[in-house]
Amino acid sequence: MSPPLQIHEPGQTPLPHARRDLAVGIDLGTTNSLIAIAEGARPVVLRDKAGRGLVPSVVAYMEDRVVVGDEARRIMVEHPDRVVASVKRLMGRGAEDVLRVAGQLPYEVAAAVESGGMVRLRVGGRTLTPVEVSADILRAVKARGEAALGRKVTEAVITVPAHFDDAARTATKDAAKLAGLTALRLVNEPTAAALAYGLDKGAEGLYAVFDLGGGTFDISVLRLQMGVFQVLATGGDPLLGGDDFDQVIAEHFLAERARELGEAHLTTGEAKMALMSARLAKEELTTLTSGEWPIVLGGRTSHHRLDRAKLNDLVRPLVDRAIAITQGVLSDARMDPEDVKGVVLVGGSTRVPLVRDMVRELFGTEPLSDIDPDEVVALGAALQAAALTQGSSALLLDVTPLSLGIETMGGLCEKVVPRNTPIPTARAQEFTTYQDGQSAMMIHVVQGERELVTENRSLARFELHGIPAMVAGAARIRVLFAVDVDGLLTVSAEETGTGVRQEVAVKPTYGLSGDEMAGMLRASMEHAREDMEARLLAEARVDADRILIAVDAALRIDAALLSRTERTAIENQMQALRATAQGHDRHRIADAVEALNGATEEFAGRRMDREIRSALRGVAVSALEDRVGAGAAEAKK
Amino acid sequence: MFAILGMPVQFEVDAAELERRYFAEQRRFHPDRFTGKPERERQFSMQHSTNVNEAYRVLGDPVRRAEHLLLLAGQPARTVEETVRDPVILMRALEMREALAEAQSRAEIDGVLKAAKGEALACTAELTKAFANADLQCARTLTLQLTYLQKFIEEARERRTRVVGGQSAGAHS
Repeated sequence: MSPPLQIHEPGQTPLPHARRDLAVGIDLGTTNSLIAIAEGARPVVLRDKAGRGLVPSVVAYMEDRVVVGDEARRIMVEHPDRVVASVKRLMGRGAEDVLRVAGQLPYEVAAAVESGGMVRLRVGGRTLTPVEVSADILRAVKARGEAALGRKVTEAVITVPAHFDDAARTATKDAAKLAGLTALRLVNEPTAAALAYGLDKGAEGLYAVFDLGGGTFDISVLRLQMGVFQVLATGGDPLLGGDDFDQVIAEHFLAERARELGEAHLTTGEAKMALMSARLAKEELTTLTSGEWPIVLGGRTSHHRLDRAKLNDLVRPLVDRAIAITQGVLSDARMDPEDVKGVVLVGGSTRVPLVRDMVRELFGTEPLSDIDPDEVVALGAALQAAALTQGSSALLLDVTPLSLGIETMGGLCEKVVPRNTPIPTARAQEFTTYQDGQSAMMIHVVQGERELVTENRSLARFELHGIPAMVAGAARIRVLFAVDVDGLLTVSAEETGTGVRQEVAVKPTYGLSGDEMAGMLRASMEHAREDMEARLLAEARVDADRILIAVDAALRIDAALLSRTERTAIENQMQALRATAQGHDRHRIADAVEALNGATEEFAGRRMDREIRSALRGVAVSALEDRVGAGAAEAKK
Repeated sequence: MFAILGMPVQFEVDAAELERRYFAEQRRFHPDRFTGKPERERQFSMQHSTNVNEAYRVLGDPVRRAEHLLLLAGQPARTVEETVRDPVILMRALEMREALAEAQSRAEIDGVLKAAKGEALACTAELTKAFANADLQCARTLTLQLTYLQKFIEEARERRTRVVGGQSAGAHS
């Protein structure tokens, strides 16, 4: 069906992209992922037939298939070694980063990782990068969206934690590409949440968004004014979330169990089981004040009592960390807690009563959670997706979460773009040579707040060559940092005297190389082709079966209508089709189906004639058409 | 910088007007408004939006605005080395630092903060006068003073949040 004609106001030109499909918003979360769309005024989460919006960000790698979501979470109980959860915590991370948190991760990290490369996971006999695992989650979320919308989904706004560094952002964009999605924009999660609140509730003034998810913590301070969402400051911790709550509870339970049963070492799988019990306890203590949870390992069960007060003791150091970061961000925004008009809670972990209590205490106001904290980010992303594909009166003005700089003499970090700089931005800084006749200069790009380069994150290294021979300190090297609206950095360097120039789009040290990315894309396209081939083959076989059954039935009833040779010819074609259908060539199957169709044409015609003659005897004319119609349909098969 | 946002070239800035113009420019030219457009237009939008952000950053902050005006007048602001040689500014900075170090309670820190904010306000008023009278030497000294005051206020504010939070706010790791 063609869309209705659009009539525009005189003098107004139609939007050039008015016919573009509405893009979706995707919240690619540590624990759960969601997809939403904003058709009309209100954004909605896209759900499956059972009404479920959340897709658990859990992937099971079985021998013959990849399973994502609720089913993968169930598989975790039986085959914990085949399942990856919380992969978002590894996005854009190097092997060295991961070793630091290895104890906290419920999966095995591949031992042999080439130095400086992206971390790889060993799971279910495969070796995978976090980008590939995230792409599998995105594919599942995309499929859910396509099922709900009844059309292809190709463009999306994807949310990332505000403090995600350049490498993690690039990794997220790569994952989208692998999943066959164009990431129109990466939007910071707290900013997306603010957009949902601002547009839906008409909020104006200074707001804080406190986003404590499964694996990450973000805090942003925004000013909402006349449809402009201006981020003043943002911060967070890439390794602070509900997973850490589970970890401390599980450690508490396992210490009790060790005292009781004298067990020592746990396998990765057993640790996952303990974490599941801990998570259940945490969730149930949101409504209950105390309870008891079992841990069954190696056929031995231990029981663990926990009440709200003990839970608070266990998680308080983690919540304290989030509160301290919040105070730092307020200070960055040159604001005091009492200046903030409202605090929006985002992320499942803000359901923990202690978190709410401490946020309320800090800001002196009841936190807002009237939009479901699990859904608000996806809803905001959908609004931004609509704004980008169809236009909107709202506008997001975001900032860089972390300072960007370059290494100078003595391993010190010289900041070029300070954190909380509005994006897009471009900043230049001049550097000079430190040796007479120096002809090249190494430019080492880092991200972070620390003074020493080694304590910050290394983003990229490149060399500027061809500097003309001069005495030390005479050359003028201008280094330009440009950060785009996705928060991604491009660095260029130039010797201003001679114009020797070099530019790099920052290729994260811990990212995928161009070759790796190309290889993965090729593999995923081949898979897509294989998948498509498999489906077409299955369809061809179904066609073959159908015609074989129909002809077989017809022969049993009406063999009398055929001569012996005619019958043998048909049976030969049937035999040929049966043999071909065993094979894997769908074209040959289709040809054989066609041949059998041809061989039975005459037979079908005779059956129809006979049908009509018998039908005419003693049948009312009105019923005749139905019979003929039915007969014709039958003969066609 | 002033031209990008259509503001008059002077030290005094109407904050509400600056905001209005900043938002208006971003509404028209932010890259979010150009996603479906040709590459050239998107390049332009990115460039212009970047310039608007920079202009807003400079004009919205009294120290950066003053430094920019001095640069336009061919009298770049003073460097750190010059400061250390100015005994008046140095003495005052040391006094304030001492006062902050001695302040223990939230109320005491608030007192120090309030005094510093008052001084900053007075300094800004003097700067307005200096620029109006085209007294650039005086403007240079005042700009430097204001830089110190701003840094100090930030430090005091940070101390204050730590005292209020009741904990030694850890590193933002």
